[in-house]
Amino acid sequence: MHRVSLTLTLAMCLALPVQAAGPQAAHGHLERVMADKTVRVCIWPDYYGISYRNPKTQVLSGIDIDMAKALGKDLGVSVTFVDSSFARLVADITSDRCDVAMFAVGITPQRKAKLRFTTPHLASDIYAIASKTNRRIKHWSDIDKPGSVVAVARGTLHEPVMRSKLKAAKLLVLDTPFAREQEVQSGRADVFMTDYPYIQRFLENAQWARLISPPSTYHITPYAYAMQPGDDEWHARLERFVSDIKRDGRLMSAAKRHKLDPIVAP
Amino acid sequence: MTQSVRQLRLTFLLTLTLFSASLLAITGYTLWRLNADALRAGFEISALHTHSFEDYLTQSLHVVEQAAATTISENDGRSPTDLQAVEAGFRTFLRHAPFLRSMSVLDAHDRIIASSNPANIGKTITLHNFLPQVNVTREILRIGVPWAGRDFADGHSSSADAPLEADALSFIPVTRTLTVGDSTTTILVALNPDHFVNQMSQNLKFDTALIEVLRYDGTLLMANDPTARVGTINADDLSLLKLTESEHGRFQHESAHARAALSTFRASPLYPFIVVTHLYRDKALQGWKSEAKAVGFVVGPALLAVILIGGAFYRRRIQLMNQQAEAERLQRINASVFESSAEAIVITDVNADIISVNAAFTRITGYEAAEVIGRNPRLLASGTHDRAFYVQMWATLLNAGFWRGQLVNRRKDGTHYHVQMSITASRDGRGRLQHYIGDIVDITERIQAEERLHLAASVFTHAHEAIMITAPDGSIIDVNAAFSRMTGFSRSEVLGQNPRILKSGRQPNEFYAAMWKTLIENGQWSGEVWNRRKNGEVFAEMQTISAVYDEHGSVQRYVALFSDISRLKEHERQLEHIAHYDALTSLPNRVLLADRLHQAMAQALRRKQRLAVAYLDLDGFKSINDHHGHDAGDHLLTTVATRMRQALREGDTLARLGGDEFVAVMVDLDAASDSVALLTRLLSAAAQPVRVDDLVLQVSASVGVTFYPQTEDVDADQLLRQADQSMYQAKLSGKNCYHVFDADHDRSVRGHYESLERIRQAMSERELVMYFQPKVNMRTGTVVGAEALIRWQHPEKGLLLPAAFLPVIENHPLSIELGEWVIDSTLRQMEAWHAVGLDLHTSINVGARQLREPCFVDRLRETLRAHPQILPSFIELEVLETSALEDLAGVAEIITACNELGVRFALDDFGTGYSSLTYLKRLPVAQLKIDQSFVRDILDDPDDLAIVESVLGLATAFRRQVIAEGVETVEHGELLLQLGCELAQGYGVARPMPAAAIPAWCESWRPDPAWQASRTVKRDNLPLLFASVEHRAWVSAMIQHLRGEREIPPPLDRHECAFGKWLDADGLNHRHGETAEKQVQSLHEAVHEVGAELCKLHTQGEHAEVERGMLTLLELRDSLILQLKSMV
Repeated sequence: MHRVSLTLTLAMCLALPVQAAGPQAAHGHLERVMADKTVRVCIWPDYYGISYRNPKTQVLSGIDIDMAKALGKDLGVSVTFVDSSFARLVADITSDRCDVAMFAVGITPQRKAKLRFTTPHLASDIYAIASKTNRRIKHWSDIDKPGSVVAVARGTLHEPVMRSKLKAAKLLVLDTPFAREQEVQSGRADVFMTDYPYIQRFLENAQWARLISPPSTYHITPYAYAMQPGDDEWHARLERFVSDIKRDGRLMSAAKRHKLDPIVAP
Repeated sequence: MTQSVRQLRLTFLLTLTLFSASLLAITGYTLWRLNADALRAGFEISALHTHSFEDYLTQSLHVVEQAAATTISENDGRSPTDLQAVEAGFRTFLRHAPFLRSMSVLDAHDRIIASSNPANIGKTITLHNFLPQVNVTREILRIGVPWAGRDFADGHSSSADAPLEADALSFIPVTRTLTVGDSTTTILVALNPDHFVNQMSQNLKFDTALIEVLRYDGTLLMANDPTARVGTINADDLSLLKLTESEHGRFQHESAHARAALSTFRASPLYPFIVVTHLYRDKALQGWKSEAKAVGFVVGPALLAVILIGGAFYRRRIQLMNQQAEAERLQRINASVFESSAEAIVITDVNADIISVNAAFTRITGYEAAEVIGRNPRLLASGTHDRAFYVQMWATLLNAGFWRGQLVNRRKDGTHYHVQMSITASRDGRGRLQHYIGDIVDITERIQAEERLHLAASVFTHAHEAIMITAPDGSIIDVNAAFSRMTGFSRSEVLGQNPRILKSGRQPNEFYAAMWKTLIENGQWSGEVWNRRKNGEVFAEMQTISAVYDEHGSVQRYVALFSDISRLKEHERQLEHIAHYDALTSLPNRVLLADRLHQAMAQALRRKQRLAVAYLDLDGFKSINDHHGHDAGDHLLTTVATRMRQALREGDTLARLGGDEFVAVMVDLDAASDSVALLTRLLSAAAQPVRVDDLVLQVSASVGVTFYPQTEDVDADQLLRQADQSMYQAKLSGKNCYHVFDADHDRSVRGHYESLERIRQAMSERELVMYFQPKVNMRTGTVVGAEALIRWQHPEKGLLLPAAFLPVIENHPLSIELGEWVIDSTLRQMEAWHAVGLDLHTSINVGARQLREPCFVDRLRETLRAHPQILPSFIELEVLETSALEDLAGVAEIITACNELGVRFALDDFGTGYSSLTYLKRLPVAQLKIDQSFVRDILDDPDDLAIVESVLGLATAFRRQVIAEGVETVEHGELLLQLGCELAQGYGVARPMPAAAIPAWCESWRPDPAWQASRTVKRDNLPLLFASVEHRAWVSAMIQHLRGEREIPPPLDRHECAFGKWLDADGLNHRHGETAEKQVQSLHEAVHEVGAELCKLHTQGEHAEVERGMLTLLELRDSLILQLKSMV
């Protein structure tokens, strides 16, 4: 199965320039999906709990991996996962590298301007991760201090949020995989910002890391699936899908499996 | 506390102590070992971590070296392009090296010319304090002192004086000099200590161990202690490590300012730093402590449990020992009870074989334990009970498990005894039969006691003597039937009453007081009591009262036995009267006279007065008696006696000695002459005529008088003899006068008596001999014995009777000598008879003086010993009743002593003295000899008959043998036999005879046939005997009259004579049939008719007719007597 998916992905990568050149409006994503018998789903393979690729096994896991597979099943098509990231999200959707981005995409005004979201299925606040040996930052309030360095991943919802929120601390925007963790671990940054799904899996493995939670709600962001705007049929189908998974419990059971049930959106 | 308990306690304490000590020792050793192990493990852990960090740090630095070398070798780092490439290479490397914060390249002036952090460029770094210090360029890695800040750009170096704050962001500068070709490049690295500290913290919590990384100069590079200030120098610590000797090692870190720790250190083999791990001792021993605690929690309670269990065990043992001791004690008690029980206990096994018996068993049965063990108890069986009895016993025993009953057993010696036996089947806890236990109580005595009680009750009920039982207060508890018969009170009437209901009032209160005194002192009283019957009749009883005591000696009961002695009393009264008074005149007789005379003599001496004794003999009385009959004589005597009595004063005594002889004792005389008037009055009274029927009779009196006291000592008998002599003088002087005794003359007269010497001579010359008069049983015809009588074969005077010579020696010691001679002679004679085959009971007369001789009994014993062939029981001593009474107690004592020798006594002349019932009872004589004066006249004198009859009754009451003296005719014997007297002596049997004649006489003598036919009459028929005597007396009087011997005939009217009066008074009592009665009547009538006829003939002088008629009269008399005899 994985091998097939990989093959297909490679094939589509080769076919990308052709498609990109093709008129998009003429053919709806649903139609194309049904025609190609596959749905291309963008994921961020560094996203613990949502869409994480284990570097040792290359196996994908996470709630949205499960939901993508459920979508494929609902549509009766195979699922093709397309690696993406928040930095490349808009570009990848816009360029139609995938039919839908399913990696807990936070609905931010910037994205909303470019993308179309389904009804949110999750909603998460912002959390900080520091090194255990960092003796200066013990509480949330210690973060925004002069000399502090706060790392965020480029393109993530945290980048604009922290940019606007931080007053004294220096914001370090990174765009290489796991760069946030490397900076904090080596002491070049004090904390990095992330969300609930990420910390669930991350804290299990990074023994050097320490979670710093905001004392009260800091900035809750609803997460949804993103797609190109304008394809109502596709949007409607995905909306129906979201509605289905909420209704039939598949969302909740997957959330529980990945310990994300506290943040499942109503 | 017993020895065993002490020993057990000692053992227990010792064991417990040893066990506890061992356990504690083992525990202590274990904990010590564990502690050592924990410390060793702590050191190992410490060393492990030290090694691990050192290795990690060394490896990390080595990676830095490699990366620097790689980067520089790829770009020589001279040109700016190269520098950019170097920087890119640095950044790529840093992406995977979280322990590095930045990498830079220094130029020759130690200025950063290229860096992964562009901000560092241009910064000059001072390298002189980096270690190892070198003056020349070498390709080595050197370590600087920690810097504060995130990177060189914003950081500054620390120093030993100014170490970094504990929470300050820091890094450690490290350089690596590389030589590429001929150029030398120095790479500057900012080492991220947080990474290592994280690494440390992950492995060891900071409160478990302190991990320090020191530079070789002691500068603290990093530590996991959040409070540690890096940059400080711990050179002192470092010097301790003696790195020159060993690059790794351990030490105990203990100091006042720091926690005790197990410290290990290790120097990096490549770089100048040391890793020191201080594993806190308390943490290292935490496991051991909890283990020790756990051990304590286990061992402590375990020890406690052991102590408690041991204690409980000990207590249980003590309890068991105490129980055992208690059980043994109980067992000992049981054994003691078993052995000391008064009841025999037999224990058998289930087969009923004896396995144990106690001491009482041996005592009761006679069998020793060893003899019966293993045997069946049936060896005790007496054979009195049949098989069914034992079958029944076993059936009960097996069914009920218990049997109780009475049975007769046999002792070992064969005697039988009664037992109350109970047998119990003993079972064990499971109900299996184990033993039979037999409990045997010997009740033989109880049964015997019951029998005795029964017998006593029977005696009580059937006794002829009345029995009365009273409580100590006198209230009557029980009486028997004889009591009711005797007193007339029924049992119910007297129960609870006091015996004084029987009181007659005849005895004074003093009598009862004395009785109670004796009773209380001696527990017994006996005597005569006058009581009153219910019907008011007073009667005499002989009563014996005995006190019954309880075990404390206090009186529980009084038992009174009494018999009615009214009849005896009556006899006694009669005897008393007869003994003291003359039957005809009612004047005192000889006996009472003696008594009165004694008293008067004593009184005269006392009062210094005189008394006179006058002996009177009526002159011509015999003639009156002969001519006018006894009745007239009696009448005369009576009248004269009365007159004479009246002539005397009050206080004087007139006694009739018998016949026409009287004695008057006149007292209170101041002088002899005072008696003259009295004597004159006496003579006058005697001489007055007496009118008897139509006759006028007259007598006179001759009186002998003597006075007392006299110049010589005289006794009463002498006085009487003096008076008697004087009376003869008066007779000689012409009668009707008195003669006073002349004492002087008397003394000369005594020569008339044979002198004492002559008698003594008679004894020595064998002039004295023994004659013997046989005694016989008239009914059986056997010769029962003979009385020895002394005679004097006087050479001149012929055979003299004792009266002729005995009075001379009466009060002389010779009399005793003579008495002993008599006894000896008699015994000698008895030996002679014995030699010829005749063993005859022989009686010997003993005088009072001889009897009272102190050595009498001893002499008698000697005499008896001298004649061994004669059994003492064949000898009977006769003592005069009168002499016996003079010293009753003394004589009784002698008689008792003689009885012990086997010699019996007889009271001679019984009736002449006065033996009260009490006296008679106290004299243990075997025989009473009725005085011949009574016996001689029984045929004609009803009074004598009454006396003899009374004496016989008395003798029967006191169970004395009676013999009648003076049996002169067959008729005497016949009458005596009818009265119940069988033994007789007298002329009617045999006269006294020489000893030589006795054997032949005994051989030839046969009793008169009439005697053999005589039967003792019943008491009811005694009046018939008396009537016969009355009748005979009448006929005798008639014949005397007819022969001219009696002046006055007996009463001719057949209703006037005594017999007639008796007949008229219904003396025959209709018991003998009308025919017999009529015959008696007609015979009596005929007797009187013949009597009257003969009197007429007598008056007419028809003597021949009278003589013939007298024969008819005698025939009629005999017919009547025969008729009466047939009625008897």
